[in-house]
Amino acid sequence: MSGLSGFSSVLGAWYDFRDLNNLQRLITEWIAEWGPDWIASIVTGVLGALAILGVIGPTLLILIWVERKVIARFQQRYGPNRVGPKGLLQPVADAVKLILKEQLAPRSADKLLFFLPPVLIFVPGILIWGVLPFGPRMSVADLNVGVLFLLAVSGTAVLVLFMAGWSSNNKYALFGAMRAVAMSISYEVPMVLALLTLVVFSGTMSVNGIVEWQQQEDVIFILLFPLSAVAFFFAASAELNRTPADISEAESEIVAGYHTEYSGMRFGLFYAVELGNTLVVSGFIATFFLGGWWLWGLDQWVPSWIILLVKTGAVYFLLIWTRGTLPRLRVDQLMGFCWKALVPATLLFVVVAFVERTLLISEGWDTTVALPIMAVFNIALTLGAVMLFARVSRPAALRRPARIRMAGAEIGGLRAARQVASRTEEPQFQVGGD
Amino acid sequence: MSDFGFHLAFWALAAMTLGGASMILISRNLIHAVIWLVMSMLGIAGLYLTLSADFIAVVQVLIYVGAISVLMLFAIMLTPRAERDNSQTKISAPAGLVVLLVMIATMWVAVDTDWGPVRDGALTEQARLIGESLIKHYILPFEIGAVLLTAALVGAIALARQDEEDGPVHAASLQAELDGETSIDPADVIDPPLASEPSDGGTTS
Amino acid sequence: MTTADDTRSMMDDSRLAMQGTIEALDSGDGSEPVVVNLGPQHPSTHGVFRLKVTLDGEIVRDAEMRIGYLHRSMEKLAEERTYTQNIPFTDRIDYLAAMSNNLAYCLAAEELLGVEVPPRANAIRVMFAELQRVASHAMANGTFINDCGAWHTPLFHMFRDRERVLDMFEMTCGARLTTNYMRIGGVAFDLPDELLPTLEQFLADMPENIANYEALLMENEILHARARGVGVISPEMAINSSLSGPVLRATGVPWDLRKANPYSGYEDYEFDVPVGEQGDCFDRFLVRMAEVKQSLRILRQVIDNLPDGPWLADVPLHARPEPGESYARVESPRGELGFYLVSDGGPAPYRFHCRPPSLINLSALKEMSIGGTLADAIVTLGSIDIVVGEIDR
Repeated sequence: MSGLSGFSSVLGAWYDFRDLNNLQRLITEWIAEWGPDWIASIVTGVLGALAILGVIGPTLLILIWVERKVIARFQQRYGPNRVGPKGLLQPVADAVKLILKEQLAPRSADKLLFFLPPVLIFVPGILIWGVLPFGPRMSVADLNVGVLFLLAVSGTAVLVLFMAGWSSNNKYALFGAMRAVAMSISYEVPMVLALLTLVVFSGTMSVNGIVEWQQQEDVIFILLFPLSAVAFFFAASAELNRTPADISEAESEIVAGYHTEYSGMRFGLFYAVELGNTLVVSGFIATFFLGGWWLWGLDQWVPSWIILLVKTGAVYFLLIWTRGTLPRLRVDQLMGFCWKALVPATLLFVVVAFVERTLLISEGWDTTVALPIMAVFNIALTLGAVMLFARVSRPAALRRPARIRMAGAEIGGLRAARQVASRTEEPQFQVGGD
Repeated sequence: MSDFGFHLAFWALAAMTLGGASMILISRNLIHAVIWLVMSMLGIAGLYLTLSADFIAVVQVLIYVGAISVLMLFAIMLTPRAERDNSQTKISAPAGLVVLLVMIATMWVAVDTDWGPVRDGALTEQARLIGESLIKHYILPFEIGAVLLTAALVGAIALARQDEEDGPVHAASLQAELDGETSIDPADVIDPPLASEPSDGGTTS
Repeated sequence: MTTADDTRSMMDDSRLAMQGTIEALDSGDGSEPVVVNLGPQHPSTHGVFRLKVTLDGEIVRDAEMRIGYLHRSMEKLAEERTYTQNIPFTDRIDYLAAMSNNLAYCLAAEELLGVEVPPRANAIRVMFAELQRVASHAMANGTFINDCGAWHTPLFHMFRDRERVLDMFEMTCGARLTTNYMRIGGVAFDLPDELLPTLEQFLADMPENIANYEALLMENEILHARARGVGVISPEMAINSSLSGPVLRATGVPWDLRKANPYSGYEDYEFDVPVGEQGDCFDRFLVRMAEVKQSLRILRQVIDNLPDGPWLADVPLHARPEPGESYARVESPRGELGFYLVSDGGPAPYRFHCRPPSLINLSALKEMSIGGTLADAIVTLGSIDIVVGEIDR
């Protein structure tokens, strides 16, 4: 126990890296000695932004390596292992190659609008890092409306996609851009509704407030609202244009969608920002639904940002896993799934959240008793809704099973086909169907 | 409220807003005009922030930049001959007159109003106050807005469904079979029974 | 064979592309359909193959094939080489099923020359034809799932098994892809000593791998959503279009040349012919998986009953057959592969013609993809399993 007390004496000192706020306080106090207040706030703001940028750059490179290695392992191959030890310098090689490539622009492309998207796509990608809380007081900007800020900023990325597709003056790129924009704005609805459930239930729109609510009530939101978590996960992977929802980048159909005409580092920027967005969305899923930097008291010994990183890594692995394994859905199937499945499901849970919140606040139910009951009820409701949906929503072609029969003695044309089909014994192999 | 940072922010944002608005008037390409409008909207969101109205600022970005500008872009994409120049349309003179009248009226009102500072300072619980006033005082406009949006949604779906043809095209023989109007067994045409085979049902040759 | 027609249409396409994309997307009244050109350089057209698709919104209204980008004039070149010298050509006609091509050609030549093939040679031919079927179906199904968008993961798993088959080919004849193994009257070399143990190990390992594929893919909701009910063709239309192979069997017609017109001793082996029901892409996928299992069954019987004796009949290298014609066909992994040879008494054939299953099967693509979306057309193309080398020769 003495070790622990020794540990706790470190708390608050400037070298206590468990709480990076200490460093910020040190700088603020030092500046306040010789300058006005607003210089201190500007300097710490700029330092925070530079820290984020300085962390994101190498992180993107490492993410490229992680993604390629993990997907290669899923496919029973090694992945990059030539450049650098275990292929760690592969992303550097890729970046160098992309920088050295010639940046072609179509002659009839709209000059300004063609130049802007790779630059502008960085802006939302960096801005949303600002509201991600790495610890109790460790977010760059703890806004009162953090959740709404997250949604607003990811909404502006849609406009950049459209600019990219439009300015290329290329039919394929425009198809890809229209599909991507339609999908993005459609999938924003379940995202907003899933987060609305959390906001309603916890009573605060600040991201840190949601984590603190989970800390206060000793529960993580995925236990309370599993369907909202899954809907948010799927909607986020659709917003990020990852399989199974990457129809706008489907290289087997329309070459590369909205970034067909971008070559060299311009394409590199799109790719890098997509990976960076994947990481920050994993971070937000971990924050909203898995408790973020809080892990039932462990955050007093282990630095809270390490806890968040581990959770983010787990969600990121899940995203890579679904990407590496699942085939992709057609765009009309994706839209149908969004509007006919995710929106009603998340709406249902918004209503449930309203009711339960009223019970907690107005009726004054005791949370230690009420929350487990609500969690069980919600989980049962989720399972019921999923099973009902699975039964009801099969398209006609999938209701009949796919069967293989073995033709024994009948070899021939249509008559033989009818003889085989009219056999009443069990088919050799059957899959699907009700 | 009167320090240097605030003044800098206000003038920069005002320049962004008005600059964007002027570029809308000047630009010849409609898509460019929408992009300048987006810049203008972002400037307005910034101005909201300088008034400490954070909720409104974020909602402005979310709705105007995220949704309404996309709507306008789609509308331009689906309009025929949208790449024609502004000066080529016939109603430019009457439209200019109407805009001039609106501008005069707006300026009159702007000059005439008492734009004094807010007495109570910035509000802290904006979302709650807006929500409460929507449900308590402005419930009727809220519901009318909801009905209007639903009508627009249903109308959009109805419009989009108009030119949808039904179903895939089937092979002629299958189509005939589906219509139940065949008396010829395709098997007789495609694979007539061999002489050595016993015939099944014994119908044709 | 790009004609002036094609050149003009290619320029039309590029003019359309440059014309301003607003008009292309005008889907109000009086809309014109968009012509989208897939290929010849395209990640998923399975070779240099061009498909002009007319789209109305997302629905395909017409699909027109333009072929000839891989024409190598093999049929003409074969007229100047002897019958044995033409065997390497047949490898390259369908480069993913070289053994089947060799077999078909050698059967046609043997019919012309009246050569009797020794039983050991027949057994070895069956063994390698079935191994080739396994390898080819692994590739076909893998690339089909790739077209459905699964980012190569099932493809790489299936390639693992294909690698083992190709290793066995290399052991026997020195080449993995263009094997050049069969000769007129038998096979070129006897089986090496290390082949049979490797084959036994392969047969022992495969059932578990197939079970893995089934577990991963059969109940996959997304694969069902992408491939069920897509690219449907009725049995009548299939027979009318002369389709053959898994495409025909998936519609329900139990026609397999190994049973209907047996060759090389297939009548001595016991195997079943899997037949689908609905004729869509998923049924073709299932039929190919089932055929792989049946091939393993045939291989087991071949190994157990391998006769001894000579592996090559005594045929002169420059054989001069009597004037006449012959047509021999085999069930290649893609369908009925036929070779038609006409001899005028000289050492080289007077006419050498190949009936490519891919070309005939592809003629039904238009029927199958009209009414669906572009993504469905790509999935359908993948499920027909074409090799452009066969189509253009």
